[in-house]
Amino acid sequence: MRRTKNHLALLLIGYVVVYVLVDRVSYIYPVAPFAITPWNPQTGLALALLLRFGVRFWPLQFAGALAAEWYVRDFQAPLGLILLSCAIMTAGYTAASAVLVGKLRIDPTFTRLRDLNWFMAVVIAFTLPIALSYIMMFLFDGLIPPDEFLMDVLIYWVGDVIGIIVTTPLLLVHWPVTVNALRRLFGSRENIAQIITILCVLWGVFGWNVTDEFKYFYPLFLPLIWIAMRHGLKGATLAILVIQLGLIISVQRSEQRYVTVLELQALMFALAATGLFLGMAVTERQRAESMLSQREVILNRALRFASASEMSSALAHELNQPLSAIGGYVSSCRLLLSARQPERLHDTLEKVTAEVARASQVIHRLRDFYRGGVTKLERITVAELFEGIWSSVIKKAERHGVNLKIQFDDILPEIFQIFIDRIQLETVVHNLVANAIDALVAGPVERREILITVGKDPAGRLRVEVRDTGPGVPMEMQSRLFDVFETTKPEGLGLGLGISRSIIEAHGGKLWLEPTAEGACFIFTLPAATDE
Amino acid sequence: MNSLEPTVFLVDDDPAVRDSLSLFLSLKGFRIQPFASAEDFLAVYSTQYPGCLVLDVQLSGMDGLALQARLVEKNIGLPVIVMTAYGDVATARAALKGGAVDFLEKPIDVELLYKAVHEAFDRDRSSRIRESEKIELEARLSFLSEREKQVLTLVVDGKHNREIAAALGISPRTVEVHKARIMEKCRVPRLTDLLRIVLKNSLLQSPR
Repeated sequence: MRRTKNHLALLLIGYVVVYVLVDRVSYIYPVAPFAITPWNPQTGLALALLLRFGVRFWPLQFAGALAAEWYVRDFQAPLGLILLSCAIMTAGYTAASAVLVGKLRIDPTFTRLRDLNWFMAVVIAFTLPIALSYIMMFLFDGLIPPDEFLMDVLIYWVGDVIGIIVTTPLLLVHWPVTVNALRRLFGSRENIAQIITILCVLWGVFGWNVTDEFKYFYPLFLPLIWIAMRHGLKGATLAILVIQLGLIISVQRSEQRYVTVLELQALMFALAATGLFLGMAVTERQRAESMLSQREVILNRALRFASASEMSSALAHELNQPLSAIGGYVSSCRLLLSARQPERLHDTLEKVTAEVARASQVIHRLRDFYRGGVTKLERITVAELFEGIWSSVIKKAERHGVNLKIQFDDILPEIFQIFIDRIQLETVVHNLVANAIDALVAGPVERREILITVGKDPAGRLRVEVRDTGPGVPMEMQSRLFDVFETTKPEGLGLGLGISRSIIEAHGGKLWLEPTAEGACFIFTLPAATDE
Repeated sequence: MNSLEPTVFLVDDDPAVRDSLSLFLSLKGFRIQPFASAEDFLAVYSTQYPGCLVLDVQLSGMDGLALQARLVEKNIGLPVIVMTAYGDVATARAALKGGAVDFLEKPIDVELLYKAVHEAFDRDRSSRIRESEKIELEARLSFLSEREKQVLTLVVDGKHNREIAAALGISPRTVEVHKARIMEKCRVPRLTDLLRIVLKNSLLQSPR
């Protein structure tokens, strides 16, 4: 409790101090004697505050704005006017934040392109009325000549937009700054090279007296693009800041001002917008990629987990046989020893050795199965696939009094080839049949039948249909049927169908529930193996 | 299988298990007849062969539980010891409900198997003795005259000589004579021995 209070106090004081400082530092190139500068980073700070901590912090923003007026501009305008202008600014940014977070529900940490698009649009739309009313006040007060009105509005507006798009994403993306993040920033050689490049380009464009400053601003885009491509939005926002600061310092230092404020602003805006959108695109892509690989990891783990229960039961059987045999042989050896029959004793010991070898083979096969869970693709015929699994599924069906049949339709199973991971595909068929058996056994059904139809779809792909005469899939289950952990079986793990679908899709096929009048019908397709 | 010496009929589709258990049981002094499948066993076996059946549940072809059901169907009372590699409750229940006398989990503890076979043999022997007693007695009862059967039925019902005499309209003395005849024909020293066998096998279901 104390801690959060301290944090809050720190935030309050820190915000006002930083706001004033930023305003002071950026208070350059003022148009007329008033607060019209090429970029207004303090407005970006204000928006970042409201987006990050919520619109209820608007009084803080108001206090910051007021303090800045007093400290930076020394209340050159009448007090009432200043209060009014601060109120308008605060109201405008608060409304913009409310729209962005409340109505448009953007993620203030900018995870998707959509967040940035809406952010840009709202910023451009909301800063215009603020600029208009702000300049209007000075106009009515006679502090600005009427013929400069439009130009001043434009400069003020663009200045706000630049200030916001440079500062707000920077703060939101990097907040809170950690020591580790800083260490990473300066710890990589590439990052150092990028910073040096920016500085060199800035010096080349502005610091070199030979060049006519603005003609050669294009190279500024190069380091920006480099950084955005490599580091996404995080890198881009930092690069934009550095370039922006470099620009302003260069322009201020140069004695002859070839550049108009608007020219400078146009460049700043173009740089910032380019960097942001490029960075955003890269970030979004990186995120999508990492999510994809995460999904893969989860899937693999689930797959191995699901087959673990199958495996352990098969393993129990396969190991129990040699162990039973060994037990019998060893007891026999003891009897043969006391009966003094060395010949038979020798034979029997040989048999023990053979059975031990058999047991260790089972263990080896198991180890192969679990080794990394890597997919091993092989070219096999449809006949081979079903032969491999048939004895186990038919036995399971018979055990539960289910009549299981397979028929081949318009396909030559000995010739039709598929390129698949055998174990994974067998898991799928096994899952589908096991599900059908469970459905048939659970419900009161007249006929207990499963029919597997193997054929081709119109596109020439393998089509396997598993149809049962069970109670069918309940309507409310159908949409979530393939979700992981979704199950109709009380003791089930709900991994079967989700995994089966993932396996089939990984093989370039599809698995779905076909609507039927009676029972349930699952169909999957697989591409035929190509000749090479 | 020419002699009627008790035999262990072993059905397991794993050659090594079959060989090993056969070796062990034969060294223990049992006659053993192994089979690779339920079908092979059914083709060879007939009721007169005594002994017991040691049966694996997981078989290719007809599985162990199905074979058990078939034995019940064919009225074969051979004691069955069931073995399984999947020690699950459902299989055990099904096996015991199907009349198995014992249930062994693989890997098999051969000493337990030995004991189980011993018990199964005892069980088979006593049931066969009972069966032969019954058959013999049935044969002898068929030699009784109609009147003698009537007397025996009333004796089984627990009636005294006087009651029997009244019921049949003969003198108690004649009842005594009939009883002596019955004992002679059935070759039993005392009437109570006869009553025990008749009651145990619920023979003599004469209409009332």
